[in-house]
Amino acid sequence: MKILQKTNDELILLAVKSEIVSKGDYFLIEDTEVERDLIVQVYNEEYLSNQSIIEDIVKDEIIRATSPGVTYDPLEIGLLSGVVRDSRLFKAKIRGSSIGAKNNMSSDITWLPSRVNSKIRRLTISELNQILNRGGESPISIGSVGNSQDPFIIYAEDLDGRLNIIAGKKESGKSHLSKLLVKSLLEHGAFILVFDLNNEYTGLGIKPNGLSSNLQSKVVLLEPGKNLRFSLEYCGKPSVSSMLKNALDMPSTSLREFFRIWDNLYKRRALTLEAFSNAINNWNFNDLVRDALISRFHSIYSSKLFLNDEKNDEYEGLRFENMISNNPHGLAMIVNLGTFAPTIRHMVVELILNKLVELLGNNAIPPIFLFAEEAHLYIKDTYWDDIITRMRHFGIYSTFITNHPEALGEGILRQVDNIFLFNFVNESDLERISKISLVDRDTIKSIVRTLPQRYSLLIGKMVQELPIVVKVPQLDIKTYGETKRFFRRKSPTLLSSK
Amino acid sequence: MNANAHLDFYLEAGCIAEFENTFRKSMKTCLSDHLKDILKGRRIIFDSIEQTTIPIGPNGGFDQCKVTPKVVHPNEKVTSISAMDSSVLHLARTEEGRLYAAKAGVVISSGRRIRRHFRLGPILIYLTEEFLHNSKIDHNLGNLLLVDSSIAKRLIRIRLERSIQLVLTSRLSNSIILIDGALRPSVFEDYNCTINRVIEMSTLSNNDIIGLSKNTNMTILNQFENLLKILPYSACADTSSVIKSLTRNMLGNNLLVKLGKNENEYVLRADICSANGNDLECLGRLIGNDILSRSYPESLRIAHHISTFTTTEVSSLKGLISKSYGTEVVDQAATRRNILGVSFV
Repeated sequence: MKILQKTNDELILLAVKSEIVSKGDYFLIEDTEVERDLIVQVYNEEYLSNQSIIEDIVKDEIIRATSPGVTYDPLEIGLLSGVVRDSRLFKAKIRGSSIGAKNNMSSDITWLPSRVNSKIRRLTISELNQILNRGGESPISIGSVGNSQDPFIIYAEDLDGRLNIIAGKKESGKSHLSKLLVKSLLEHGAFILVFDLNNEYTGLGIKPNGLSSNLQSKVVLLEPGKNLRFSLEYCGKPSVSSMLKNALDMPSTSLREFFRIWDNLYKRRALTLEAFSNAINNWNFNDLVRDALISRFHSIYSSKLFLNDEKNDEYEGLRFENMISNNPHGLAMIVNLGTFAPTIRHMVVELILNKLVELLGNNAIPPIFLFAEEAHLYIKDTYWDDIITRMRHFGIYSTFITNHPEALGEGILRQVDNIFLFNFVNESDLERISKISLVDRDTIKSIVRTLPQRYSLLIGKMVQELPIVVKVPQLDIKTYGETKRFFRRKSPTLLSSK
Repeated sequence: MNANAHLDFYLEAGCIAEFENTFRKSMKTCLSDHLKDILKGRRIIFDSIEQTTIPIGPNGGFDQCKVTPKVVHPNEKVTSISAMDSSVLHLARTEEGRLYAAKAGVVISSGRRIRRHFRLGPILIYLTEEFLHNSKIDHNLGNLLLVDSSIAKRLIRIRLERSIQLVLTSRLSNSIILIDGALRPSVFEDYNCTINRVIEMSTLSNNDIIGLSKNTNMTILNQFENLLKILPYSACADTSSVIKSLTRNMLGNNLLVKLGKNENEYVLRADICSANGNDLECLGRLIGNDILSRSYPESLRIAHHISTFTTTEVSSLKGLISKSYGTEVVDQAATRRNILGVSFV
């Protein structure tokens, strides 16, 4: 491999066909004369093409197409010229430099390595780790690097206090990675809340053969109306009012009346749904306000999210702080949203998030990792920034999983710390994703477009701003949430055949 | 026996080996199998010195000449048309001689379809004084060969083509062999492999030989072109008397031919040695069995393309010589650059 050209922060490397290089591979260009090394990453490959090579290929193909042929080539020049025609150019971005592969990386790329004397060799992942000085106490094995078998590890600390995005088109492996992260965080004793749309996280504690794994005791499935029910008093006025405002679109006038009722019932220690119903029907309101309150009350009542009368009920309702204190070595709370109407989903999410913020604000619970699948389906656009900015400070560290990057607002993209990118081919999706300032758009567009299934481009703080392509491994958990099909035979797709 | 089976029978078995033996005999020590040892450590300069000469032909005195065009009717009797062409490239020079590369292409057509093609080469030929000593070439001409690469290229080309022609005529029967250029003996031919021997062999095997020339230096022939162009069918005109009066050693019958019905078809010069002496029938079979475009047979066109060197082949050859043969490359351009400066090279 040789350096052919340099433009801005990009090198063009010439290689023959036998030098197998995958997009995303890192190379070290060692200039022994100046004793400095350049770290580059291949992001695109092309054929070496000039007019004469194209003419040769066309001419050869036309002759070949006219009739079968016999070749007498004693010098085997055909093979050699085949090598020339098959030569390729690798476009590589300069990521940094170092003085010797064992030293730390620096951003000084103001020098140019020798085109003649430089040696180019592949950087192993251990060398890269050494240069980047990566480390942590809670490793998460995220797979192997590219086509090699070198394992790649990120650290749970890199996800702690960060905003993460897992994005990719349908069936590219997003949920698979998400489950891997949840499982690994759980193994490290983290507290995780998952908004599960497809009921696919319940298998986290079950092995593929159906037997329980050691994580089963740490996985709790919360189903609205069943074991996900709260008392009004536990939820508190801020959470319920936030739910009414954001999920049920209650106007401010009606909300004011609601506060009056709440305060009154609270003073009388009669904060039950029945008492609320009576108050709405008997209090002196404007009829429009009454109608508004009645309709919201019916939504709340039919959602079965609240206990009717906590004092007379045996079940005191769900209390997050109790659940967490009963599982001090980590807990994954899987909130099943799949079978519920959009309004109820909104209500559940609003209520839970607000309650958690309150508990975190009172230091009643430790920070929580939130995994939200297709969050745009249950959180309003206006609410995004609130989740990301406000809740992060309280200790809710979000990971959004989406196949619809356009649903992610500019605000999210600008604040994102880590991105796990799977395959995208749609130009507008790529354009949206490439706006993320963590890495150049050439790299994103070129690598992401050709990623096979379960290959992910890791970008951000977890990889210290050096994009890395990893192959996500198989998970030893029971898979749920597969699409139900009428026909048994599944059509192979290009993505899955790789 | 169908056309392809016929070809398989005659051409596949040992055809290439026979050609190689014939050409090896013709070039003797030049086609060394030990080029690696011979060239090892030699100082070599890659260049391509081209020297061309333009023969001047007499151009007058034939105004009164009468030439009668004859119509050529396509004859669709299945006949194998074997077209061949070659090219030679001057690759490099050493202190002892010059290194050339040769390539040839043979294309077989019949029933207006291309049936098969053969690629021969590239073959490396190292012309040294030793070769000239062993060959029976005139001493002065031999010296010229070492100095003038265009003459050397011509020698290699003629010997390569004659070898192939001899193999084709001995292996095929009742076929037509198409040659690019005039049918004329050359001082560069090997005495065992001359055009006369090729014609003799082809007559014995009942093959016809046609030498097609795209251009001729005999400008006098241009005046007969219009006679053929205006005819709305394939036609030919016997110009043997004109051509033979200008050059002595032309073989066969020398015709001007238009192989097509249209007015814009090119008129080509065709030297024909037909086994049964019937040139019209020979041309008819050519029209009936080859694909013609602008009066030129497709088989000959493809043979030309096969035989020409591609840029990648030239680069590969140079790479092979400099890397595998252990030669020491002298960069002449670097010398110029160093003396004149970069901008004046």
